[in-house]
Amino acid sequence: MALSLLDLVRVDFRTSKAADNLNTRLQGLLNLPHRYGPARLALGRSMGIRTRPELELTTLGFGKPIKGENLFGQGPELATWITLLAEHAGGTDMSRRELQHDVAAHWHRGVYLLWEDWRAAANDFDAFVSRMVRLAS
Amino acid sequence: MKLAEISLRNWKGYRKASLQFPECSLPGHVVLVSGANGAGKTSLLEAIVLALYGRQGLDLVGRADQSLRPELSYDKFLERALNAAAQGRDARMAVELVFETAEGEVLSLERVWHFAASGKHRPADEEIHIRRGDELVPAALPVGLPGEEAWREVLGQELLPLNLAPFFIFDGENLARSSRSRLEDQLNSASEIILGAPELRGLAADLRTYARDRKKDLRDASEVSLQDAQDEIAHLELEESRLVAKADRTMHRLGPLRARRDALVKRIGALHGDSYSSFKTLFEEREIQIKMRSADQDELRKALSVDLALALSGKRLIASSRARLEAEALLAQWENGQENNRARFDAFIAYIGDDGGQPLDPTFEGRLEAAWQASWANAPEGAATETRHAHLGDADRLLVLKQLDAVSGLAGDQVSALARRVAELDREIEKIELRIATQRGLDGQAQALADELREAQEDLAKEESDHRIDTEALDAVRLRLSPLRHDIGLRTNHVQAMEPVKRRAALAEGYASALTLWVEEALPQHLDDLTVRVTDAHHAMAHKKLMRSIVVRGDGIELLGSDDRNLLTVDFSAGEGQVLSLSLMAAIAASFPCFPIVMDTPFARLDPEHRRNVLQHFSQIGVQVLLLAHPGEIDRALLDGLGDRFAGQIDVTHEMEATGVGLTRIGQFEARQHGS
Repeated sequence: MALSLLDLVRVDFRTSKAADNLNTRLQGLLNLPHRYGPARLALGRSMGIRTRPELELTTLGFGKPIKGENLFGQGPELATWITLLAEHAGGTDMSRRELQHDVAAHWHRGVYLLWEDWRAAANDFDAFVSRMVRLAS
Repeated sequence: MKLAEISLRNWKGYRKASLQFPECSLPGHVVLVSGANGAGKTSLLEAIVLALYGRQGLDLVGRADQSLRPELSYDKFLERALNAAAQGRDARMAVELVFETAEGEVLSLERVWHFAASGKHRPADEEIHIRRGDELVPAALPVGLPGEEAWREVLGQELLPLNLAPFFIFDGENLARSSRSRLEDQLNSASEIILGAPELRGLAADLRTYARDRKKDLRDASEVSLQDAQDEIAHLELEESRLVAKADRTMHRLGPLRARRDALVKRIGALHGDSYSSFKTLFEEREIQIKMRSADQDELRKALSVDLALALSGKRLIASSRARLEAEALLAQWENGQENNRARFDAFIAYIGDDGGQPLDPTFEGRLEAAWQASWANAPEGAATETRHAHLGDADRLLVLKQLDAVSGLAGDQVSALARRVAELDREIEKIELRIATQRGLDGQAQALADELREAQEDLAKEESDHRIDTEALDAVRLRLSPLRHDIGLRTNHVQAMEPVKRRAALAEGYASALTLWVEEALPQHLDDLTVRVTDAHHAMAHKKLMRSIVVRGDGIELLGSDDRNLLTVDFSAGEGQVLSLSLMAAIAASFPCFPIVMDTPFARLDPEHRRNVLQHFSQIGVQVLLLAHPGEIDRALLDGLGDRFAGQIDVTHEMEATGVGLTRIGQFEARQHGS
């Protein structure tokens, strides 16, 4: 069954417990007001890599859930995130479960990459931002 | 309840007859219906049973052929019962029983059977009528039940439920049906009926169902969802308190920071008297720049969470997504076009058909259709072959393309511009600081104050930035809280409105438990009561006092001898067995005096002493007793011994008419001659 944007608004997403903890640390360090801030950065950061991430969540434990409407926003923002995730995954007929799994894996991979970026920027916000801008360009 | 009249039409030997029983002020009295063998006494008992219970009563009719299936047996019995004079044509046979209640109200029950000319019973035509009052006005049957069931409901509630019938109707010619073991089997259910246990259990079950349904409604409608909403509100309120406290703390810090800044500015101004104004301008300018930098940093953080986050997915993924969406848009357009093309072809063919010309040759039409479809056979170049982004409709697809454009083109630039502006503001601030430092030379004290001021301004800017972030977060929390509080208000009202329902459900459960408990406790007590009554009845009727006690249990009876030995294994004589059966009948009738006792040939197996005892005992129970007996069974002295409790007798006779058809006649009621 095709994904429904309307349903995804209320769907819970989560990543590994460890990645979620790192997400909280980054939120504080970057002084971002919402939990979804570093999470979105992590998703984008991970999707910048061609290969599809792999993650076995059950052995790592789960982090706190976040609703689709918070993680991705609503309307065009949500539609754009889902499009990018589906495009990155390839294939057709992505199920809700596959999407949740992909989000968990991207979030996990991305947040560790961000952590490396933060350290590479010598814990400096401006340097970190410059690095992000360079990666996005 | 007293039987006042039995009317018979075409029933066995009775062509059209009516037995009117005497009015008697005593609740318990005996009426004798006397007749020789074959005179029609048993026919009266059968008429009573089948009028009351129809097919269901067949088991109580000794002369019914029990070897047949019940419906056949019923049909055959009725076909034999149809009076000979009524046979050979469409006929009806009827029995009407008129009762008089203890309150003097009249209740009539009539059952009518119909027969074809062949003598075949027509079961579908069977009629039942209930009439009430002196005028015998047709009574409404209980609503919502089919006729026979409604009839049984009336019998159960006002007269004699079928399960109790064996305790009130005794067929001496069919002792197997009135045997002790059969009555024993029915004692428990009789006891339950007397107590109204089936109705009470049904009522308890209904109450429980009501309570369960109401509780389910409550759970579905409110409590679970209310709890969820309350949890969410509690969580948000906690967050709100945390943010308010944090904002308050920041505000508390901001006050002294501002005061410190102002004091520093003042001190610097005092140091440099004439150039104070210039200094003040510089410091104000620096503060403005710091504020601007702080605002841009906030903007930058927002951009990080939105556009930059999307942009981080990389130009390659964004480009491939764009290309894919455009290809899928082409595919969707082509598929829509195909549908339109098919509709246009159908319209074209319909148009040709409407033109009044010759119908198209099917082969030609097929070729035409193939050519038409070929014009739209292939998807346009660049169209996708399958859909990956089925979650997007046409409008969504356009919006996503627009967003991707914005991300790939502007996001990086926007963020870079913001970052550049922050860096520029940093430089501006440095410049102003340099000017402040150089305006009066590198005066040590001024420099120290300037450094201190810069530090104070940075602290102030940081606190103000934190305060802005907290205020925004607080606004977001309050934005979510407001509709939730409104919603919970509605839900709480709903739950409050449901409170009476909740109370009723609890009450219903309480009543159901009380009823069940009552039945559970009352039943053994009633069996104890029956034990006393059966024992007393037996002691009154049996002349051999072998039994100390007859204990009634849920599953039968125990006969305890004088030494507490169980006498169930003892072989009683036929007469003694019959007295035991009659004891059970007497006990039930005394416990639940709802119907007359009808006894057909009850004394044939009893010796004179048993006859006297039985008659004496039954006449004292307090219900009307109809004795159907032949003259040899009861002598006059026995009846006279009853005194006023013997109301009188009616004779039935049977004779053959000249046509060879038998006819039963009913004599006049002969009241007891007092003093005779």
